[in-house]
Amino acid sequence: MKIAYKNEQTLVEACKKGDRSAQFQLYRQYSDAMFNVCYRMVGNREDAEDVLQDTFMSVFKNLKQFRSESTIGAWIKRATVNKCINFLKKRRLLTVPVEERTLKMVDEPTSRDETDLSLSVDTIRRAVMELPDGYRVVFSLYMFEGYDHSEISEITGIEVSTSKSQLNRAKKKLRKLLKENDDEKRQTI
Amino acid sequence: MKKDRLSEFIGQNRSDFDHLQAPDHLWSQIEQGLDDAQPSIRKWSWHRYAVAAMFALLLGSVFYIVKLQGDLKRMDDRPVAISLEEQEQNEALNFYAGEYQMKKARLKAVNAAKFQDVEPDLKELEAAFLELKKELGENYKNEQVIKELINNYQLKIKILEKMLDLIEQYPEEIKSL
Repeated sequence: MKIAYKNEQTLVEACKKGDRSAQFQLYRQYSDAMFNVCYRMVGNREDAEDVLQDTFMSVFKNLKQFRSESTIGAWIKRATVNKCINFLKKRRLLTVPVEERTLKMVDEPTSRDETDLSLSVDTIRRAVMELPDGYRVVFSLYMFEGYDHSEISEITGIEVSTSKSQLNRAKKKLRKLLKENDDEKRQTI
Repeated sequence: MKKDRLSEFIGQNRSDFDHLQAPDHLWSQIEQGLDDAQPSIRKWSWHRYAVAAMFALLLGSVFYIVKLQGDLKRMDDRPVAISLEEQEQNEALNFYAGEYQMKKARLKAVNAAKFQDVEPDLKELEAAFLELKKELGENYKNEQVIKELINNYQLKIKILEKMLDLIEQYPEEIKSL
């Protein structure tokens, strides 16, 4: 039997009591968005599925700890991101090169030829998946998930300065990949 | 700081970057996982209760025996405390030897059947007494051994006294046993 919950709070309370239909409703509400977060963070669909499953299992088990200090969406997103980081750490994919840990970089100025780049959702999406794990994680957390550098530092355990430099390097690498993609297109035309 | 073109583009088209849908089969796996994770209430079968009851009984018995031994020891310690000197210890030994023989004879006379009931225990204690006495022969001044001999007598006397008390207090019941 389907029950429509008046608001998010009653839905969460029902989930806390172990109401399976409420849990399914909460899952349906956030699973797609969280699956995209997982995919961008871990870099492939198969691992993203595993991490998403693990995340929601953990969310329902630990929901009693949710105290409405943030929205349930933000809480689930943080749980998802943490699971992704743990997954990458376990696989030793989240490594920061030595120079990245110590080197403090300032924001690089926008490259001159950026205006020439043809930007599209599809090309950016594909180029992001080509970034090295460390770059992709910081780039995704900052650009897509909306975390600032101090939050990224807290989530990933890297220095704020490293987060900043990783983001700049990720952007630089991304522009390079997009430019290469543009050049390939021009050559085929 | 002015945003670069790339950041602006992503910001403006943020929702379009979420192009994937969570696979359908994932919910059933999550549901299965949640079911498995629920704590199961183990029903106790009758033999589990029986084992638990026996264990509790055994524990209670051990506790009772330990307590009884402690009580006896405390009672036994009193005369020992006043017979630390060699002379006194010998006197105490002679006293308890006399007491034991007297009580033994009395129980035999009052109720020979009940004497036979306690006789195996007394014999076991007497065997231990002889072992201790052998040790005393080799090590005459061993206070600990003398104390143990006195303890041995006291324990035997206690068994006899207990039986004599029971016979005196419950003569009819003892007869019917």
